Amino acid sequence: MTRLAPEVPDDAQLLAAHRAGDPHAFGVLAERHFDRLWGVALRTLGHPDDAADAVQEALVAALRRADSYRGEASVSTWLCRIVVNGCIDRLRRARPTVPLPDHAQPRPDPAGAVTTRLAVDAALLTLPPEQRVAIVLVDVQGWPVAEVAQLLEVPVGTVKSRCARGRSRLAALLGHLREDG
Amino acid sequence: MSSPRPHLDELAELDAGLLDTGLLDAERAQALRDDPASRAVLEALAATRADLAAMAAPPVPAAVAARWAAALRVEQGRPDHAGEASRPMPAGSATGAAPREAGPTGAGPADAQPIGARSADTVRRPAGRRGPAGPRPGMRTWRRPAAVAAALLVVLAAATALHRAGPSADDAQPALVAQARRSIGVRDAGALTDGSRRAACLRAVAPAGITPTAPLVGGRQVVFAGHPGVLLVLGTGRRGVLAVVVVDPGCTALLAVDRIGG
Repeated sequence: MTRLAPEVPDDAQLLAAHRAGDPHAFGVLAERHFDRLWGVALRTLGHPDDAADAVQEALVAALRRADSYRGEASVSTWLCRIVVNGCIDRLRRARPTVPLPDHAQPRPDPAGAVTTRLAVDAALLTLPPEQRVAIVLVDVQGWPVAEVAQLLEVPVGTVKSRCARGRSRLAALLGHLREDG
Repeated sequence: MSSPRPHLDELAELDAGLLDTGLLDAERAQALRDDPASRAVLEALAATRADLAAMAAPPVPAAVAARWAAALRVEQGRPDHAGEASRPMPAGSATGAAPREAGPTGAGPADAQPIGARSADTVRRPAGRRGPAGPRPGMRTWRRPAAVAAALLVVLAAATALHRAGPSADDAQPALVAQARRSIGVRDAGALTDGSRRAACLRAVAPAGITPTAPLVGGRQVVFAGHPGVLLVLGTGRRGVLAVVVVDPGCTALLAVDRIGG
């Protein structure tokens, strides 16, 4: 006797069910992505309270505008885009970027002194929002560059460029770059 | 003909795959890879990527997940009661979502960052005290009730008296630098986020060796040795060295001074 496994709806089916009036579908859909969205928001904003607020706002926004989903990107990418945009808005609202003093720029230490290492999460928070988001998605979360470009709605080269600038700055802050003559 | 000395930005672009976009030609890319100094930089960038890959966030806390689920239920006009977050889906609508352990709705993490052993008297933003019928359960509110503000003034007066003579080493001091590192990039210094107000504050409390106009690298509301305060992480003009200052919220007293690096 063949035992059929229960059918598990995919993300698009859940979103369609929500649009059709299923009161529980969106909650199930959202919960599937809780950890991923949390990771993006936490690493982008650097504070659990801010991350919790940002994701909550994004989920409610996604619920309200579910009809605007057109299927150009996956539901997962669509949800993450709303979270990322919310995080960037928060960063811009809360803090006009104050760059680290010039000495923190990634360049060789002329004195050859041991570079003070910042914790990775602390160093990440020194990056401008766009660089930080690109680094979080590509290097921390492991998203393909092409998918990040789609999520951020920018060319692939822009994502790579943001990652390049961010990594070079982080390499100095983390102490990986040292004077070597 | 020798190639020009490689620049970090150029190597970072090579490392990021921008070569494929034509920003670097193949000959130059090969020259960069063959250069020992360039290889060291590329290895540093690789180590940086490895550090980043190792910092994936932990799963969302159950209380936060429950808060989000409650917010979605409220948004959909459904009753918000304990246990619904883990209720199985009705047949035909969805399956397979593992129920999470539902935490207390609206219970968010503590907000003011306590430093030191006497952090129990944290007086800060109440997290998630909105009722279940509110539009955004658990969303933090930044309003401080008048009664709390009055109590704060009393605490401040005590703190001012305690610390008027200057910062003192106590049980909170060792945690200060760690908290300061975590505050880099955080912009939660209230009025002291504003450069002119911060400069005026620093002139008033006059921490030794710190320029009032030093750039703000990070700041947040904290509880330092049981007293509310504002932690400021400031640039010093020296690479890898940051100044750490804690003042009381009214900037009438200097609670602590420390530094990162140096």
